Amino acid sequence: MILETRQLKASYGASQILFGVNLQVEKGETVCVLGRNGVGKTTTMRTVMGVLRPAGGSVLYNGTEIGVLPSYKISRLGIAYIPQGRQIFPTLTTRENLSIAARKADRSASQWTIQGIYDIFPVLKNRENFKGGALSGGEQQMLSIGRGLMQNPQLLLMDEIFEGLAPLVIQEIMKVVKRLKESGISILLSEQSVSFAREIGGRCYILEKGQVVYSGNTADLPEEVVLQYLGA
Amino acid sequence: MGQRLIHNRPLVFGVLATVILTILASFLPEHRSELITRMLIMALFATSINMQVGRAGMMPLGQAQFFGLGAYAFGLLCVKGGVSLPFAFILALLISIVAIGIIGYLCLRGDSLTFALLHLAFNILLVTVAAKWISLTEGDQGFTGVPRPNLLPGNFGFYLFVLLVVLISFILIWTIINSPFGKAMQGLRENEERLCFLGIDSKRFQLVIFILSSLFAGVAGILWAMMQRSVFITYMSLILSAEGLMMCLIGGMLSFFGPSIGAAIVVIVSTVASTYLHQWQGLLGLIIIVSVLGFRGGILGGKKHTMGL
Repeated sequence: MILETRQLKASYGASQILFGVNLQVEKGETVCVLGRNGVGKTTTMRTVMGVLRPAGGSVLYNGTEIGVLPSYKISRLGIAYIPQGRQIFPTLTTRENLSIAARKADRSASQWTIQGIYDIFPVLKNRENFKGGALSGGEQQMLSIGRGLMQNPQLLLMDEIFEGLAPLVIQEIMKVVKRLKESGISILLSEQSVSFAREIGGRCYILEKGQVVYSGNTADLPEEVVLQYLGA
Repeated sequence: MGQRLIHNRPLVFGVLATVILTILASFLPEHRSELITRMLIMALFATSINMQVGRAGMMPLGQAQFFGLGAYAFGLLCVKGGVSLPFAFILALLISIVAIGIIGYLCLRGDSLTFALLHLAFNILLVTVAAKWISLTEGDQGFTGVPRPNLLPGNFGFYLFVLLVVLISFILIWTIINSPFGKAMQGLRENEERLCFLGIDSKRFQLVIFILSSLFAGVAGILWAMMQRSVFITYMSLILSAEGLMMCLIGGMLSFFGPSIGAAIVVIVSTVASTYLHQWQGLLGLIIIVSVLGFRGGILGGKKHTMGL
C-alpha cells in the first residue's frame, strides 16, 4: 500500500473538517475521492501533503508515518501535489516553472524531462517562454500537472484538476490522466463530477461531512448512492 | 552573440551608466564628484535590500545594522587592530557573516511579520550596543583614521576603486538573482507553500538570501567608512535603514536597477536640495508619494514600466 489514512482528523483552527477518514491507495492504483463542495476532499489532500497537521489519526506512506513531516520533506519522499487552483508561478516562464520542479527519478526506469512534458502537452511547447500568469486556465492546469510530473513522483495527488476548464481542454487532460494511469504511477484524485470519475475508472471513495460513506469500484457505483451523496 | 548583447537592456544600461558617471566624476569639482561615489555606494546598499524585498518577499526593516557592522568591523580592524587594508576587508566580512547568520536564523523563526519586526529590533539592539560599548566603538563620538586603498591617488582614484567593487558586487547579485536559486526566490515572494510542494526548503533558501543580502550591505558599509575616513554610530541608524527602503520604493522594487535609481535620487535630493531648501526632507517625502502613486510602485516599478531593466 503506497498511501493509507487511518481515522484521519483535521481542522482549520476551531472548525473540524475531517472526522476520521479511512482510505487506501495501492501501488500503481488510481483512486478517486468524490464528494460535494465542502466535504473535505481538498482538506484530505492538504493533510496528506503536510500543509495541515492531523488533529488525530495517521497518514502512512509506504508504511511510514508522515503526518508530522513538513511539506517539503513529504514532497521529497516522492509525493507530487497538483493543487486546487493550479498555483503555478506567474512571473516565471513555462519552462522555468517546469525546470524549478525537476528532480531525479528514484527507482523507476522512466524519467520525466521537459521534452517529455511537451510530448504529452504540446501546447506548452508553444508557450514555452510565456510567463505563467499569461497562460490560459487550461494551459496553467497542464503546466501544473507537468510540474508535478517533473518531480518524478511515485504518488500523484490531483485536486479537482478539471475545475473551470473548457470541455476540449478537459478531454485533452483526461487523455493524459488515462495514460498516467496505464503507466503504473499511483494516483489519488479528488473530483466533484461522477462522470469524470467514471471515465477515469479505478476505485473510488465518497466523502460526506468529513467521513468516507462509500467505497468501491467506480464502474459499480449504484445510482441511489450517486443521487444521495453527489446529486444536484 | 553581439546582437543579443545589445538587446540585453540591463547590460546596456549598466555600461552607459558606468561611462556617464565616470566622465562626470572626472570632470566635476571634488565636492560634486564625491556625490557620485556616494550614489554608487548607496546604490549597492539599496540593491542589497531589494535582494530580499523584490525577490524573496522578505521585509528587512533594519538593513543599516549590517551596513554599520561592516563599517565598524573594518574600521576597528584597521584603526585599533593595525590590520592591513585588504585583510581587514576580508576579515570584516567574515566577522559579519557570523553575526548575520545568528541574526538571520533568529529572524526567520516565525512568519514574515515576525521577521520584519525582529529585523528592526536587532537594528535597535546593535545601535545600542555600539553606543554603550564605548571602549570598543568610542560610542557616540565615533572614530577617524579609516584608510583608503592607495592603489590610485585622489578622489577620482577612490571613485574608481568604489566603482570596481560596486560593479563586481552588482554582477554577483545579478548572477545570484538569475540563477535557478534566484528563480526559486521569485517563487517565494509569490507563495511559500508552492515551493514547499516542490520539495524546496523555503526557510533555508530565505536564510541564504538573507546572508548574501546582508553581506553586500556590509560591503557598502566598508566603502562608506573608507569614503568618510571614519565610522560613526549613524552608519547603523534606523533612519539609514528607512532611507534604504525609500530608495527601493522610489526606484521600484521589481527591477534590478530600480533601487539604484532610487538611491541616486535620494542622494542627490538630500545633498543638493539641502543646500537650497530648508525642508528638503519634505521634498523627499513628496517624491516618494509621487513615485509610488504616479508610477505604480516606483519609477521602474510596475511590470509595464520596468523597461526590461
